[in-house]
Amino acid sequence: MQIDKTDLGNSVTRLKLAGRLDINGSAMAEIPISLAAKNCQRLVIDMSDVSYVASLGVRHLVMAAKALDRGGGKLVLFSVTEPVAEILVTMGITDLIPMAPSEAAALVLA
Amino acid sequence: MPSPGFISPLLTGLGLFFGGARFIAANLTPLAGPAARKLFHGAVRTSWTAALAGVFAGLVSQSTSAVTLVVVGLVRAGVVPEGRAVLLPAWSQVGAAALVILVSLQTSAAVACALAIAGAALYFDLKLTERLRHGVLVLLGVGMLFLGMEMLNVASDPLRVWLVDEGLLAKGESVGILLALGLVLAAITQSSTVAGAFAVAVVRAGIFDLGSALVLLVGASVGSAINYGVPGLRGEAVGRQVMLFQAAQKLSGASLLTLLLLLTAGRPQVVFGAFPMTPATAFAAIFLAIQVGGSLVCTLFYGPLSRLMERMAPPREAEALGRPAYLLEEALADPALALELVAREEQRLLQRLPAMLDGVRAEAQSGGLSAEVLRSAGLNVAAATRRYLARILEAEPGRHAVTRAMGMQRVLDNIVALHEAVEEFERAVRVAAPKAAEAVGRMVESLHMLLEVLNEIAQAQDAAEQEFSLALLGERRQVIEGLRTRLMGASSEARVQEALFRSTVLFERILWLARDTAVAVMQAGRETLAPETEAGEPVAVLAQGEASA
Repeated sequence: MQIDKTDLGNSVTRLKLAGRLDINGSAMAEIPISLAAKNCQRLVIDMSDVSYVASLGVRHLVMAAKALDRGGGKLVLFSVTEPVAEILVTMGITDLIPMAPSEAAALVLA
Repeated sequence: MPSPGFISPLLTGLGLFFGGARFIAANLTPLAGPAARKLFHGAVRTSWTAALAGVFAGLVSQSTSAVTLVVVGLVRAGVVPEGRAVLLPAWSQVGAAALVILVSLQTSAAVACALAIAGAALYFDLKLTERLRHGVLVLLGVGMLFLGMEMLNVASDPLRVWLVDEGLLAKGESVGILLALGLVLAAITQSSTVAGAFAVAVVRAGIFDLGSALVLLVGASVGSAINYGVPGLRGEAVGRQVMLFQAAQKLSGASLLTLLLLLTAGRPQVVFGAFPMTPATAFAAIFLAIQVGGSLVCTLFYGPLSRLMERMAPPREAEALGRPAYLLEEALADPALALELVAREEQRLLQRLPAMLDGVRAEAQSGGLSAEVLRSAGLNVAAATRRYLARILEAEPGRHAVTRAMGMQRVLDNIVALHEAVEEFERAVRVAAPKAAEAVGRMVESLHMLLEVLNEIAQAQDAAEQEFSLALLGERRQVIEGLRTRLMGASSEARVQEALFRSTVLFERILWLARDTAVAVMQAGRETLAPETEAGEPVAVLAQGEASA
């Protein structure tokens, strides 16, 4: 799992995840995601290169969303691939963590 | 070549003997009725009540194997603690010795009456109650047993002549062969009591003398110890420590008997010289004495033996999971504390639900327990928790505690339903996965996360955090319908399609149960925090309604 962080200014951070958010990927992504959620107000995550999410990976996303929500912030995912979107929709997290088709749309939602 | 006049009565005698013993064992327990079963529930208050209950159970069932199985079942269900329960089967050996004593008595007149009554009742198809019918069958069993012995008596003289002619009787009296014969007898009959009764029969028939029969009994006791010890050590039987304790009782009896034979130089009849006893009666008396002696040794050394059993057969993970961890007897005196322990036990059960899917998740670590084992363990703990809650309510703890207990009962009912549904889901996925791996895998991961969310809600202390997570358990019928349509297209095989359909139905059901459980847990948490009067009554109305979606 590769993770790139970009500070977009105005308390907005973009994370780009690439790879599988399985057990190993989730372990690598846990700290960067939680740190990003702690240090910004709005977090957008590029999921275009994420081919798979496991339960643990989604839990990290949910925990980040909770942390942001406590501070009045928001987490939005964008460019989510179809297989990953199916899992996220079935899990029902899209009410808490919206999915946007592009970065621009994600920044609007956030 | 053995004479035909020898074979027929021998086989007839053996058939009637063993068939009669089985008839007695099979019909005595129903004859005793619910009183016998109730006995177990109150039996383990002290070691000596357990001993008395064991003797009665053995007397009624004439089968220590049956008593062992019942006790293992009760221990597994958490009805009796394993500790003193091991004494019940050990002392049932003493009660079961009644069969051996019966066989040693000269009762041909009584046998004739028993057969006549049983035969007439069955032939004329008398309108008997269920219990009377069992009584008639017990009489028939007794008659068959003794008729079998009479046939063995008929076979004994020609058999003895044949054994002498073939030189087998001399060999047969060697210690090694007698011990082996006893081992084989115990292995075949799976009952040292029947083996003992058979030994009495051959003593009465004059085939073996008392000393030889006792050596045979040592072999049968060791064989019986092996019958119990092997499943106890191999861990195939639930209640392994009960099995091992039985083996210890058998070995103790065999040791005492060996000591008797050594001290009397193989002629134990010298001990009974002063008493007017036939060899058969003396054998029966010794048999009873070693059962009592073996059980007494095990009772007196219960502590050290229990520790040894614990080391030899430590509880396996599955067995430990099937027992409650928090439901302390002492806490029942304080309803608030007892309810808190119930809450912890329920949290413990909820924690296991995600692990039930590990067998069908690519992401799971291997080597975990199967869904079936976790389901079974979970249902055992839930049953024990239900009984614990009932005992809290029996103490009439006050309205607030009653309200909390009822809420916990609702959570517990859901937990049981969740265990059943998740295990069934796992089974359905196993059928479907080879043909629709990717699609099924996504559904499994989704369900795993939702069960983790339920677990988090149960553990969370913060109401806001619980509300946030509860949103993840919202209804999503349209999503599941869409998922179902996609999955059904994954395979044309009817069996796989049926499994896929069932898995989506179960997914929906589990989601509903998870949400209902989460709401109940959150409501119970709010009731815990509500202030109370000194009498344990709530100060204000507790219910704040269910959380909105």
